[in-house]
Amino acid sequence: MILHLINKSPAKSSALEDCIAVLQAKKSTSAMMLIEDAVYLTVSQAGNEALHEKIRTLALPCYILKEDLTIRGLSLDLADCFSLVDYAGFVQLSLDYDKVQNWS
Amino acid sequence: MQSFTLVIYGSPESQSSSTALNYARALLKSGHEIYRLFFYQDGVLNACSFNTPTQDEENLPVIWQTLIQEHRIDAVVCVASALERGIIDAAEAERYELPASNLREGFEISGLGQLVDGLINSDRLINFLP
Amino acid sequence: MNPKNILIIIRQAPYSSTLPAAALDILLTAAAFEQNITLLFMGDGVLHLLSEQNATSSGMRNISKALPSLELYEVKKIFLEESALHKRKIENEELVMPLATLSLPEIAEVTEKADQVFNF
Repeated sequence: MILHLINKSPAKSSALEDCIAVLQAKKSTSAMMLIEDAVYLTVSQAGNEALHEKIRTLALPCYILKEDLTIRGLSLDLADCFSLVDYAGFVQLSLDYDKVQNWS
Repeated sequence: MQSFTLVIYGSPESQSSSTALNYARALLKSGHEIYRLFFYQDGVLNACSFNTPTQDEENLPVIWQTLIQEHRIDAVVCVASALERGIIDAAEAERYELPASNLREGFEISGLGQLVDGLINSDRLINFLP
Repeated sequence: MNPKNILIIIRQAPYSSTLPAAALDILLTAAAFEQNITLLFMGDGVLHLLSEQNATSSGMRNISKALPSLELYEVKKIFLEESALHKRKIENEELVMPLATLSLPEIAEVTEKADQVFNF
């Protein structure tokens, strides 16, 4: 049970895709937590929607840090594959999972 | 109550430093404790006392220092990263005969062993990468 | 106290960042504390393993030079991602030393078993 912490936009880094590739390779009860520029994944655009579909197929939780959407002026009305959390929720998730693994 | 070691890799100008700061505040507010803050790589720049940002910008080193002093947090700056980037305490300034020291009060220079100690002795180690 | 299982993953290419060298420093320190360490090269991280590198003009440290000596520190579990060489058309003979490979399901398993992961 790992909380995968991703902080880069999918346009700039392979972090998100590499993480998804490992999650696809073996069934688990892990989750993803997107912060900083990784929250740009929530924007509905062609490249992102293909990744949304992959996340739906994984059927694992994908949490988005609310503050990082707000400071960027991005919509809080998210696709069904995402859930919003605040910093308190982020801290709680780091304890709910066995460990936190970064992807940068 | 759980104990955390946070490793900060980003400079005060990177978002990762303020992410770590917000995370630290949230965990303290939730009743958990910080075993250690470890400033590594460009993260050591958060311990500089010479920063003078423009008025409309936050001075992250000051905000870190306030948090550290208010909660009496063990805040360690990696010695190798610090010397490479010119973050110098009084002892190092004397040893290398440098014209000044600039380590902010509240921070302490030590080795990577403190990171590994944090990993061994706290419940969670969280990395904040730039 | 039992040693922790620490997994260190290097995914970033050499020379553009100091993080891979930072990973090596964490590895050596954790080894000095007698922790149980696994090192894994994934994606562009395998580029650290090319033998024909000339780091002297970059001013940066080269991880490939340190690899053969890691056994002295009891670091024996060093792997690379199976598909990463193939994708980059790199042959085994081009590497500084032969390494065992891990498939993505095996990487997922190693990751789950670790107490702590550093992924740079």
